[in-house]
Amino acid sequence: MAIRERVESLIERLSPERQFPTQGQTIFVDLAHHEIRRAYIPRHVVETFLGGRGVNMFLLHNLLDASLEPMHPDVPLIFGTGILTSLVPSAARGNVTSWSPESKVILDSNAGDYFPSFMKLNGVDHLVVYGKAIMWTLLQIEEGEINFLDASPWMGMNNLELRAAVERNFRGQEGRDFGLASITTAGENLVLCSGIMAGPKAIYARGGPGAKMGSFRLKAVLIQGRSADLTPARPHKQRNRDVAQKLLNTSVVKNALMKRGTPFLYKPSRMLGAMGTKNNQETTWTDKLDAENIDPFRPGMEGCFACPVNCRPMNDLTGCQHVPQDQYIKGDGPEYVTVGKFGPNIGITEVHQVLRLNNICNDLGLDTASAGSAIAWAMELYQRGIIHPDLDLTWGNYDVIERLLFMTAKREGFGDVIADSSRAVERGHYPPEALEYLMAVKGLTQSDPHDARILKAFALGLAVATRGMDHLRNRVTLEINAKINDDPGFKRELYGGDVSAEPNSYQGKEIAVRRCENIFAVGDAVGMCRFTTKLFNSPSLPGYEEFVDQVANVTGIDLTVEQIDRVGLNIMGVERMINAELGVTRKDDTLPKRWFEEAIGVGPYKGEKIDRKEFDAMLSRFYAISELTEDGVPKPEWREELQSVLAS
Amino acid sequence: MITVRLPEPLRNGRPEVITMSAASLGEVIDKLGIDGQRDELYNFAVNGDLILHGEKNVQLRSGDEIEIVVAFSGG
Repeated sequence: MAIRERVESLIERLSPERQFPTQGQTIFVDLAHHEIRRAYIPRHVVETFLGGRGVNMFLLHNLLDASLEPMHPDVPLIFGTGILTSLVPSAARGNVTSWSPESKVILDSNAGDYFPSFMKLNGVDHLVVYGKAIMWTLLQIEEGEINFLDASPWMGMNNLELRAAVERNFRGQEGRDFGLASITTAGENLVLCSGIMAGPKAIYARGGPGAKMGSFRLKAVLIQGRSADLTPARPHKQRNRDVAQKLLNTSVVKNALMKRGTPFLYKPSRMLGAMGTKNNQETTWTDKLDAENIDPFRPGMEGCFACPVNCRPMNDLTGCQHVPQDQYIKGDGPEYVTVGKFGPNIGITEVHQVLRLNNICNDLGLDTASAGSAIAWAMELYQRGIIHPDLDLTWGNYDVIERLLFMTAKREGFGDVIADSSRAVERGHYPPEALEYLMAVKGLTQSDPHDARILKAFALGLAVATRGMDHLRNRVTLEINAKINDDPGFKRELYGGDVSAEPNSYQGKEIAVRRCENIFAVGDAVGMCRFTTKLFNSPSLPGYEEFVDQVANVTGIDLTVEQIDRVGLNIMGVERMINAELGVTRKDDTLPKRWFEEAIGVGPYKGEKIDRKEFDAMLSRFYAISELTEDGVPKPEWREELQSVLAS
Repeated sequence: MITVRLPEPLRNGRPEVITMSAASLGEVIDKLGIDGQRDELYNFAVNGDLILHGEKNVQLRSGDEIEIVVAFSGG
């Protein structure tokens, strides 16, 4: 069935009217025919998946034809905003969902800044685009009207130039007057490690969404104004004040995120001997990249829409010796992921070099996790003599790395290889033996630089994450905190079962991963930032109690804590159903070979690696408590329940 | 004697680096009086090795260097 028939069939099952106060429309945009369809997600679907990532999955499950290829124009790209986005402090997030051309499993990527909030502020909960436009298009949404603008004036622009041009051309300021989701030249050139930019740094990064959007010839989506009636079902502002207070009282927020942001994470990983270095051949690196060494280059912090935390460090290299005084002298970031992926992972030791590479990636719209991983993979292959490019890919060769980023965005020379990211073997750039050194799961390279051979809960999370090797889906971050590990009663209360105090033990880790995966999926469905969701870095942050209260206040839909937890499980369930349709099985819930075969060589856990038998037993226990079969899909009775909502 | 490096929020008027005698990390925590005040954000590192569990039972020797590290792992 072609996409237009699938959309027709789905719309018949959606509602023509709002199902609750503050609900926005789901808009279907056929880029090829310039046709628009609008509907509302039915209430029982909302009660099962809430919104954001959850409803995106409902839509993808209904619209995906798995016999096609990810880049086919009949495979939709779906923007979704959380059910509480823009309405609750620190809920500024939204997801973009599709079939990933990079990993070839689900594409599901989350971003903040302003675009998801401007969707909500203009009554758009989900935006489903499909069909290849005849010419490059800028989709303009204003006062409920959708215009297909010729994007020629903005073609060839990267992020900095494009955002400045849109502000000039549409006479407004991003964040105040409009939200913008756009691709760079990398997206135009279908670079698989490119994202969709939602701000100067904010990026829907993982799985190649930039390439997917480029394949439709869609340069940007611009949403202007604040036209929606967002009057809540019940008063919610007092509870918002509680949420904000809880955020600001939490130690990780006030003592770390608001001061230096996530670069704080570099030091503990390094000291533990768990810092992925040189494509994870080593696991510790220089203290020169510790967060305090970035202090001299940080003029201040910024934040997303209506978020009181402001955890995004800015950078300014003005006056720094050996740094060109060009457009990359200042920028937004870096996050810890970028410090790790463009520091130890590729052999860089200097702060100013990491900052400059960060600023270049932001401009080129490159996912620093995938691009950094692809470069590290190439460097190891070069080190081993497996590839012989016309570039010197020696670890830490800064000048080549910088040049390679621009070549990647243009798909020039060896940049064409990096642009194909984890698919470099499949596309004939590398010999098959190169796959032995690819640090990826389900075709997606690792999101963060933490080497998870020590902390077994981290390892399980990376293996079972539905979008591939990514820590933001389920990481049991508190496994690194000794005070929590040494309090078994508190730990039992947090996770709902006995989880071993020893981070390198396999016992009970599946319980903690299950609990985190549920609450993080709910966080994505309501639009809450991961950094400020309970269990991600702190047990004291807003969680189910606050989500339940504010979903009730904002929408009038009353859920219990148990029911909202079930929403998290449901989202994972439908994601696994989609992945199964794409060919994913138990064998894909695994880890890179290196982690099973090579031991950590330094630090307090020297000698640690992943034991295959223990890992396999832990995976089976995870499936059992997740209501999954031994092959990792929902058990028949649950599958039937989900199917009744998905197809009703 | 052992050396303890304190992060700013836990100093309470003390200098960044202090010395004391202690046979275990548990004793250091008692002497600093930070057990209740210290939340999950802070871990101990002994001679550069981060301690992830069983911290109060970690035995110390004269000359050991202790650092209290802001330790979180999700970002």
